[in-house]
Amino acid sequence: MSSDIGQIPTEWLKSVVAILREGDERKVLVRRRALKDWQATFPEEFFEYSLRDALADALEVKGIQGKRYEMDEPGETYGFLMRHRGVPLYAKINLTEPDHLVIVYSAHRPLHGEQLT
Amino acid sequence: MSTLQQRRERIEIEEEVNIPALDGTGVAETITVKVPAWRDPKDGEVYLDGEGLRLLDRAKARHMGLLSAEQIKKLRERLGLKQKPLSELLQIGEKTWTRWETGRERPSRSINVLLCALYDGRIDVAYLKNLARRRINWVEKTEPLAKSFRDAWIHALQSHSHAWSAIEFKCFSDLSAALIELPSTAEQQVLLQVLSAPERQQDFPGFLNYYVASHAQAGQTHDYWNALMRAVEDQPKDTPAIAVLPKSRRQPETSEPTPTRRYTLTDIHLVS
Repeated sequence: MSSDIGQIPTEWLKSVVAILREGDERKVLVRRRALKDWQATFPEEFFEYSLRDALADALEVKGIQGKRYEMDEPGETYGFLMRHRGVPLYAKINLTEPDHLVIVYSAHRPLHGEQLT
Repeated sequence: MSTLQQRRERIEIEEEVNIPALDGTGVAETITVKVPAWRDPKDGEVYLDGEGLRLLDRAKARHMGLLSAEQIKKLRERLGLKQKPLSELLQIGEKTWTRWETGRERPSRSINVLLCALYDGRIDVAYLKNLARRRINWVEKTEPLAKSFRDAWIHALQSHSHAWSAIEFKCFSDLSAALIELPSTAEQQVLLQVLSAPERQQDFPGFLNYYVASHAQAGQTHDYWNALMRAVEDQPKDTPAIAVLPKSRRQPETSEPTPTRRYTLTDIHLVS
């Protein structure tokens, strides 16, 4: 297991969940490709807010593990596995610094099985 | 190094939006919606912010015939109610209504029909309040009756009596009357479930069997009858079986008050 994998820091989780739940239009950016992947996986989830709610729900699961990524974009980025309606998903989110913006890079079916690698 | 927020460029994109079919399993139609987005000049990636996502949601809701968040808020203000009392009248959580008003969530298609009826003035607050009153009255009215009836029922079972005393008769007729006056068959079913629920079997053992036996010819709907049968099957194995005597063996009417109801009561006997 990579040393970058471990429990996602509580502070990061709290901040990201609060922003996702808050619904402030300016604070969340979703990559178009991530939105398309989400819509393709859950066509019955009619509305786009379902993605933000599902991510927030997943990040509230106690002890959630994630893999830290170094991105060009300043801030902390974690990739994590989650389940929504019983379907496994991989998501990657950046909490930018100093803007405190949530960027959803990915939300798709896991490409490498149900384990972070 | 610049951040995405500093270097991003405002663009307009055309997004394909799938409008779900009424049963929610397929796509009824696909429309194209123009929404604002952000482009990262560094790698060409496109991002949608809350505004773009909200516009997509709004287009979808409009095509599905759902009331918008603004319309939902306007409706509540026009009804002159705060979120909490209106939520109680509609039997939804207060937070749900808040989410509808802020566009964080949409009502389901079925509840949207109710909201549209309110919005178009086809039903009013007085109607909702009346429904709520009936709901409260029903609970208040039937619980004490059910308690009184329990004693009579247990006594009848223990004595293996074919004919009930005047007290038992009164208890049962009061409960029957309450059942008859209940607002809908659905609520009658609820009370029936209360009386026949596994955890109440000690209070009303065999009541469901009696109910089924005495209503076998009563012209129930297919669904209602099936629900009864399922409930009978779910009863504990040691539930007393109760039969209703054929008409020819029923006791003749007596001088008791309301003699027609006495037929119902004297019909009961335990199957040994």
